Amino acid sequence: MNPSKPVQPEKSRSHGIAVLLLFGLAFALSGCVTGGAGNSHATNLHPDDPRKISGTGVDSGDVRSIGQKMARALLDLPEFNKAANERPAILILPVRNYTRFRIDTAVFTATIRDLLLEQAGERLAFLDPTVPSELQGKPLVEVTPEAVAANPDLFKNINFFLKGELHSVSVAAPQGVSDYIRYSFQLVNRRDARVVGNGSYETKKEGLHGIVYQ
Amino acid sequence: MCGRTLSLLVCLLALVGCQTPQKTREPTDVDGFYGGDLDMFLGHQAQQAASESRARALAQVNCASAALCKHDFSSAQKFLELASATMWSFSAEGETEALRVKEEPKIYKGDPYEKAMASFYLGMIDYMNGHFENTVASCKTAILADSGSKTNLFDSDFTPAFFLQACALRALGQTESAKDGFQFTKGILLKRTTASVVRQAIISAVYQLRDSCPSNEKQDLLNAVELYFNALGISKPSLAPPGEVFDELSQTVATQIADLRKSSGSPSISWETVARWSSRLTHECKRLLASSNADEFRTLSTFLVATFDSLSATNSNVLIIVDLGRGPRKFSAGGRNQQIKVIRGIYAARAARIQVGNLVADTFRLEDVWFQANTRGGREMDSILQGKATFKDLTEAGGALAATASIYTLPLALLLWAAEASVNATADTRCWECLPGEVHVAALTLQPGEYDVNVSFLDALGRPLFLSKISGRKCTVLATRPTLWYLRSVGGNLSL
Repeated sequence: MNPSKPVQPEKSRSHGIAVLLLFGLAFALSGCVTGGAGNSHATNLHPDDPRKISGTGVDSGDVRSIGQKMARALLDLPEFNKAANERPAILILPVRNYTRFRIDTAVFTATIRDLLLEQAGERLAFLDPTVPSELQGKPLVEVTPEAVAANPDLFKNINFFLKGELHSVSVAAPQGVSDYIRYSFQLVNRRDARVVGNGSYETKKEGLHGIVYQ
Repeated sequence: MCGRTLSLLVCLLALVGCQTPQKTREPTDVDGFYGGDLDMFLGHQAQQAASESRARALAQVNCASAALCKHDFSSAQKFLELASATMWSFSAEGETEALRVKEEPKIYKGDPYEKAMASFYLGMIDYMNGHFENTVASCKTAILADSGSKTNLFDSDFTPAFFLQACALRALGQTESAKDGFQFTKGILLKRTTASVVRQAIISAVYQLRDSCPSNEKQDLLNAVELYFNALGISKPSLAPPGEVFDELSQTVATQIADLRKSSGSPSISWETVARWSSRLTHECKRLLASSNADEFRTLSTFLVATFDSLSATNSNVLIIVDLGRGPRKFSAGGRNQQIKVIRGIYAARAARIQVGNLVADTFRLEDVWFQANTRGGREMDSILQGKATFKDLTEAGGALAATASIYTLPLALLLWAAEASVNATADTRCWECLPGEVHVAALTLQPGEYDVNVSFLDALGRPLFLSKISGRKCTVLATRPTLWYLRSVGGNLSL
């Protein structure tokens, strides 16, 4: 007769305790872990790529999209498709910013000008408001439609003004922020102030905070 | 037995590992800033600002404060832009740790009042540089930061942003919008004056009534008080005396209670008892307000209107912003340090007297930063921290009970203690301590040119403070556009 081996309650209990302790240890240690250390690095991104630092403001991708859309809209206008001896000259007025975002609006004007010149440089010309004009002897930066209307001879080389405006509707809540931005551009004939072309571009971005940041 | 001892040792080791060594506060840092040792402060903070620390935005705004004091506005702008990018970002680094372990490892993004102040300063620097559209944009962001609180009771009332926005709109030639902006700012200030008198009357009435209130009805009295405070928060700005404002308020509250009784909302609350206490509260408040001097209040309101109208006068071409005193500071309270409390910085100055040649102008208090820090309506994190504190209380008590019960429950005790030790309920008390206690403004009309500006700081009784002054600060008035001067006592000749 081979009697069955007696159960050893002490041993099985200590095994259970060890397992419990291991769980406890794992739980305790998991709380001590701090992540994110040693992850510093720089990444090359294409300007159209979405940024990793998230926000709801104006992005490089927005600027480029707007520039491309505006350039296409303007080049479709009959004013730039006429066979004429002289290329129409455009003066881009400073973009008016009515949003809640601090923006260097010159980046918009530069992007649109560059895209238009790249795609249709042979059909139109731009006046650079930062270079002193021979006519004026001073930069054209402060030029406004009112100033032009008051001095028609001084600005006779200009055919069109390109005006731009940025407007936004922003809403905040503990959960986050929502920003709707509308970018609009108008091409205005200098002689009769007629709007010969316009276009707009809209974005809506929403940022949500995790519960920790609410 | 040996295995058990080993397990015990491992557990103890794990617990020791979880203990964060006590960090000693560096008194030289912010105290150094207020002491006027700006270079030392800037050097130390700039290192942290350039690091990968999750509190780098805090170091950046601290650097901006020091740069503003040194009148290095270009550096201040860069620091504020860097900090704002983090403060307005939606990245959530450290979120899991903040939820599970301790709140502090989360990224410092600042409270709404801190975001608002950062945007306000950016707008101020843009104004100095003549970028008025960007000033308006920054002010809009500051206003947005101050809106969207947990409850709708604390709508945006960040007066420095509304005021600066109106000034910038005027500089842009949008006179009607500017006028509306000044009116709106004046309305907020008037409402605050009235509200403070009414609020004080309600508090005094509660003190009068509490002795006659049975303990089982104290909560009903508090519910009535809450309704009054809520109604006060959303009341319209008014030049009417507090007594008349309170009459309107009591009608609003009475209607609300009647509606709540009809709808039988919140069944745990006895609206009949609340109505009874509300009625007694109304009676007591009316008595208190009737005995207070209504003429005195009217004089105060008229003075406020006159002063503010002179500030927003169209002929003034120099706007002066003076930061005064020490900003609010956060500390943790509660059994597990799970609550955040904001305390007012201690300073003696109550106004600044600006002297430019023969011209003397006293500043007007536009904002109390402590008030802004305190009127937010709570955070979601507060309830999480409270939950953690309760968890720690329960596990600690359970562990103690298990440890004393028998030798077999000792591992359970260790497990509970390990769980307790892995959770930290301490609230995150990091804050922008270099902010001022108050934002003051003055407006002057001056011919273009360079001026020596002297500033003395006045105490509550209007007496100049002997140790606080700025002497001979060179400031320029531009011919082509409106000018803004920024002054702060620290970093000048002497600190507050």
